[in-house]
Amino acid sequence: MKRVVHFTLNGFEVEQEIESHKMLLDLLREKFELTGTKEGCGQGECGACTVLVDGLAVNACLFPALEVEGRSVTTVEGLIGEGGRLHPIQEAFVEAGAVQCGFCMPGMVMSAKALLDETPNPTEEEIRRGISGNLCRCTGYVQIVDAIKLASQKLKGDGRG
Amino acid sequence: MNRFDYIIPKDLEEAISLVKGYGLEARYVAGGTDLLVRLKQRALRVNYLVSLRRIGELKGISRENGSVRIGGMTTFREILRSEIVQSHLPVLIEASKVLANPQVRNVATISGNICNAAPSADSLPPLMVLGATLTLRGPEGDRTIPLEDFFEGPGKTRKANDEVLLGLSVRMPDQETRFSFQKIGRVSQDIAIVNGAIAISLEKEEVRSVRLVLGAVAPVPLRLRGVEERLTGQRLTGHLLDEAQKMAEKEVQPISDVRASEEYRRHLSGVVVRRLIEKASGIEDL
Repeated sequence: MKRVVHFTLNGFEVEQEIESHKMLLDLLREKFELTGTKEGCGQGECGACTVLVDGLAVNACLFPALEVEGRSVTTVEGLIGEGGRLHPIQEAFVEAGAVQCGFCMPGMVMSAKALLDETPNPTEEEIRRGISGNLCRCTGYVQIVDAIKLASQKLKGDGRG
Repeated sequence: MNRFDYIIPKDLEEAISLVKGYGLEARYVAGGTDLLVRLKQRALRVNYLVSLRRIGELKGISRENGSVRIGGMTTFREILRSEIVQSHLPVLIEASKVLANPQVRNVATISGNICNAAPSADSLPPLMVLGATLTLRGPEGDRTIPLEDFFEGPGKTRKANDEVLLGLSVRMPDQETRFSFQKIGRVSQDIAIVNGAIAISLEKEEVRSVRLVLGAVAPVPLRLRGVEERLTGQRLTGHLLDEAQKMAEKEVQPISDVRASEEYRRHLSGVVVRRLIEKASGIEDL
């Protein structure tokens, strides 16, 4: 059955009709064509579909689309600043060489965002726990951890969340 | 995944009347991190999912007359951040920390972890050694049931399909009782190969009382009554620990699956029991 859902998507008020059994991932990719959010395992193990709902990291593949009613959703596309400027977390991932095949990146970046919003100066252990729900099949974890440390420093200078 | 209708009721009464009306075609859904996976894998089919996520009265943690009450729809993130749980039930914090991963803990609920009745569920050994009691509400009213009597097998509980787990209540433990939790998995976000918890009360180095529960080693979270009896009234010595370890290996009823063989689970069960006792009692190198 189709139902209408109203929510805030990357800062904009939106409404969209969707079949009620669909997940947030389908809503984002199919209805809004926001394909930055990836589908990996589809079972909440890999974190490729990580987005923020009211600031908390969730797996969009297991989050019923209708449950975002009245909530605020942020995807990787929502991090881009004016003039297409990368977010400091994204800059840090590029500069630290944390990107190999790139498939896990949107999810990694969103988990890093959730972590740094709550813990601006994370220890290495906290970073590892923060991305424990994100798999990188290229196994580039060392550079990803470095990138998040660098992002933490950049955000301190930048003043932007 | 088949096409089901996802319904968000406005309150608990509406939720219960919907599931009662649709009967076995409907299921309640909490955080959905287990249920939606089973629907996607086509291990389960429903025509209606009735969401409990927006029902405020099912959320929250409070202290009432010497007990801690946790609402069924409380997420593991909320449990981890609760000062009440941190100060009174730290063993539940230990288990919640290693339950899946941040994305799952942000939505998965205590009622989901209980009602899915996975033998490996990380919150169950702590809640069982704490002696938790569940409150259920159905079309006929409320009833309570000890957590220990709730499970019938993997995925099977005494909850009727149209009953909602309102929450659970735990008597605040006395100062003498000490707890510990252990989980063995390849990495911590994995489903446990073996997990377990202990509540032990010592006088000098003698065991006054003990409750010991292991998960993922039987069709339901298993109380090791044989080991409990052997320990009770005894002085904790290296010899007694060796014996408890060997008894645990025999008392569990594990299966072989993708995560571990029966034999390995038996071995780990002994190791986990030993570590639980050592950690909770603070006595090492026995």
